[in-house]
Amino acid sequence: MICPDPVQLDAFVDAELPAAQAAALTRHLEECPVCAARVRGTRRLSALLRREAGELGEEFDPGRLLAAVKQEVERRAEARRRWRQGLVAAAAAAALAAGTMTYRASREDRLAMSEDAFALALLKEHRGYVTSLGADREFNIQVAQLEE
Amino acid sequence: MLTTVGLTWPGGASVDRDARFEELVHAYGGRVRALVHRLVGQDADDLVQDIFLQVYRSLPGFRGEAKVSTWLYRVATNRCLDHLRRSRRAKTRVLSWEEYASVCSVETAALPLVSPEAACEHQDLTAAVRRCLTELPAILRVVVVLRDLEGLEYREIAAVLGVPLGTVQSRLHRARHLLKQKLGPYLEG
Repeated sequence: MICPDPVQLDAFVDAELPAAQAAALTRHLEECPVCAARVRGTRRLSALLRREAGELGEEFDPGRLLAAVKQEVERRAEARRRWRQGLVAAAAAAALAAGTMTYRASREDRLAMSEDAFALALLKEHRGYVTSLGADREFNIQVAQLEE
Repeated sequence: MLTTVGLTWPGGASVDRDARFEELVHAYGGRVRALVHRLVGQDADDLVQDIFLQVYRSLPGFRGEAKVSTWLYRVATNRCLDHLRRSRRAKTRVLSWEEYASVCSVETAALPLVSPEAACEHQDLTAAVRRCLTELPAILRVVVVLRDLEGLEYREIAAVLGVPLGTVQSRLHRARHLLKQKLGPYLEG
């Protein structure tokens, strides 16, 4: 048997080869000191890693982790709630500011009008109020005069 | 090989998220914590908490396409690699695959040897072995940790990392090759 690829030797050590392939490789290892040494080296490395780096000092405490995650989840939920509240407040403030600006713009437009045009616009704007007072006739007269 | 430690979800629609999460922490918390410590070294507890926070938030979206354990290892491994990429120390250690391939094409570009005398100076073989592990490029360290310390099968590692089986095998071989060069004196006998 030709010496297998080193990747195949790793797979043999890790018991990842199909049975027939593993059996053939076992026979090869009995005859090939180079491959046998590679396999030995990989096994020793894995054992060394497990022995020296496998253990962690501190015991795992699931209760502490659960409490920490729960606390963080609640903290973030609270932060999101506050952020939403802030967003609503900001939106309200923005709407108010926009309304004020519109009002101001409207007022500036009115100042730019002639006196008659302004009076006509004011009358039309308050037509509902005038009508509710039963002064429709007077209203129409005034409007007609201003429109001339 | 990973065992599912009795986890029966997903599928149990009656089990709420908190109950599932608690079950998961009890079943896998210790192993995930060990994995994180082995991948990023000391001071990993904050990262462990971040990983489980992400798991908690992702639980409703987990549909069981992968085994619970594989999914959990994937979340943890990706987070660790991300952490290593971000950390200043990792900038000199985490190589792209192309960079790594170019480095490893030169066999002599292995890490420096650790002699028994040097280990004796440190009075700690454990520290020397762990240092050799942490000095491996992260993409190689992950594979050797998942195989030799966590005991995952090749196909499980491939699923966790989202890479082909052949990539797992070649990375594992590279990692072991570098470790053998560095820890050579301890492997004779």
